[in-house]
Amino acid sequence: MKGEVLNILLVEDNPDHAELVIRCFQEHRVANRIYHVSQGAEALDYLLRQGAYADPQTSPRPHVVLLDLNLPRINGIEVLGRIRASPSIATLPVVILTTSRAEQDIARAYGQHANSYLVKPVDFENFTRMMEDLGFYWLAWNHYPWSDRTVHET
Amino acid sequence: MMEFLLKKKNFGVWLESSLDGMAITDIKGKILFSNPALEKLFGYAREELAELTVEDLMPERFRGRHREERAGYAEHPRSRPMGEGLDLFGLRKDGTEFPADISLILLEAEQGRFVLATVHDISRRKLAEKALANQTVRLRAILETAVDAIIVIDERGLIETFNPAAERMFGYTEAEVKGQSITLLMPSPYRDEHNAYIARYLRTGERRVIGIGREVLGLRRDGSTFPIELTVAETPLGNHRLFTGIIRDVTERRKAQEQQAALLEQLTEKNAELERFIYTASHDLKSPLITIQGFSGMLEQSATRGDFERMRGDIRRIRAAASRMQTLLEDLLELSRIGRVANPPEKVSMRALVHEAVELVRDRLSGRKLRTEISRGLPDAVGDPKRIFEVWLNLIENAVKFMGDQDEPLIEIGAEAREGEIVYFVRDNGIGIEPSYHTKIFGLFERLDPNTEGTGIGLAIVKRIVEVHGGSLWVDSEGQGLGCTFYFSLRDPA
Repeated sequence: MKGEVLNILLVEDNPDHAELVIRCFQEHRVANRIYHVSQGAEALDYLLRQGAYADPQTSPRPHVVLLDLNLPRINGIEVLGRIRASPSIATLPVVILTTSRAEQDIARAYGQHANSYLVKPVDFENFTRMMEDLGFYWLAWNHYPWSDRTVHET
Repeated sequence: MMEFLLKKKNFGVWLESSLDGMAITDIKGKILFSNPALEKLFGYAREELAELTVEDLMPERFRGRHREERAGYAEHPRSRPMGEGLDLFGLRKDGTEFPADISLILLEAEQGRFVLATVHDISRRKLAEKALANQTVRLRAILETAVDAIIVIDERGLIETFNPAAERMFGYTEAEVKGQSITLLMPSPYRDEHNAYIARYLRTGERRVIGIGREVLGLRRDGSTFPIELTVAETPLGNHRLFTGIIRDVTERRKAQEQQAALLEQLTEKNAELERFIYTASHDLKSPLITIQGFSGMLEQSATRGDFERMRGDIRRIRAAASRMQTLLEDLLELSRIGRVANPPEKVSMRALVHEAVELVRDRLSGRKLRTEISRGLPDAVGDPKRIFEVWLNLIENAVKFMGDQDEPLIEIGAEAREGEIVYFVRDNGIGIEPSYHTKIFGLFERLDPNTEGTGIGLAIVKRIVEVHGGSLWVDSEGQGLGCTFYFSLRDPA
């Protein structure tokens, strides 16, 4: 509406993969800002505005969380579970972005109310197209449950 | 010539109508009179009998002795059953024999002395006796040879029969338990249940047999218990009843069942482990592939733009991902080799291995101080020395790697013997591990901190080596900052 920017929290422990996602979004046709954390606990701190992420100016609430499953210590499923269990962020859209296409991972993710489940394509063309579609979808088409951030008409 | 006798008090009528064979002989054994029953019994006509002596009516083998006895009898005649303590037989005209009870009555008259002999055919009784004896022998044989314990009790629960299998099973002799309550063989709570049942039965007459066809516990003389399978049969005996309990010791069956269940569990666990392994391996191998593909694409874009700085970075990432993939593949190969290559087990000096590993790690520390305390009495083990060395090296390296900012790093190494195995340990005062990760760390390619070097296969390899040696591996740590102790067990060679 007023030059809305898509804020994304990227939770990814593989620095190469994070770099790939970030670069894809840099080339993106929708305005966006990516906030990257590499551990589950950090992600929760960010979302709950704890510790280093207390300032809403530097750590704004994201429109969507891109969450890897295979994280050291607190894994993606646990992070998702804690998001859903925290009233202030329970409705936050969470997109799983992982290398795993294992049925039990998909089942567990949806069991914890993931909004979407994406498998990182190995192929570069598909990888960039997925990121393109992803950004566009969440900024252009999606309606959010909170009032101050409405849809950006294309 | 016997008329004088037979006329007396209807004696003749009585003799004639008697069902037992009867004969009157003179003192020399000559038959003077015979009744129809006797004729029928021996198959002679009355006229024929009149020509015979009593010896003619007995088998050859008795005759000589009988003549002698008859001579004695003539001197001291008295009424008596004949052949006391002997099995007597009659000899029929057709040569067949039959068992008989014979009694002799001395008749004294003016005309002289006579003997009244009564012959009672006991064939039927003998047959019945034989059948009964047969039955008893058979029953006894069953009781004696049964593998199952067979215990017969009366309605009050008192033991009447206790077969050899029961003696072996419970450790009492039949003599010891006869007349004792069956509760002697029952542990609580069966004993109390049974007592309650007996009390109830004696009070109300209500009959209820407990423990039919279900598994309960038996109590041996030495106080130990064992699982039994019990079936109870009820036998009415006049106004009373007997209970026959057949008891099978199912200890072995139980053991076999438990073993089977354990094996199944092991197999399921192994399967799950394999699944996890494939899952992890495929995930971890796919990651660098995405990096290689992704940055190759990026490289192309950077080349188009002529951004050489970025190109260098992309190439570096591609190379790193490719070598990581190589390392992962080598690690996987190494892990799979542990189970396959088995050097024959030999005696391993743990003390020597530990010192070697500690020296190796110390060399790499380059100047950082490290105190080690190695227990003097480190017991030897049996196994593959190369593999066991890997275990020590990995655990000691880990201890150093996760020492954190400890000012006085200390590694303690020791062992303790526990039931048939020796538990070795490596204890450090480093950063420790939160209890919730105590299982996770042994997983393939698991790293709690993505910034530590290595693929995260070390502990998976250690675990595999220890398990291939028949032992187990675990960790103990109070939590972060509190140090940790890794334990591994091996069979005690002693």
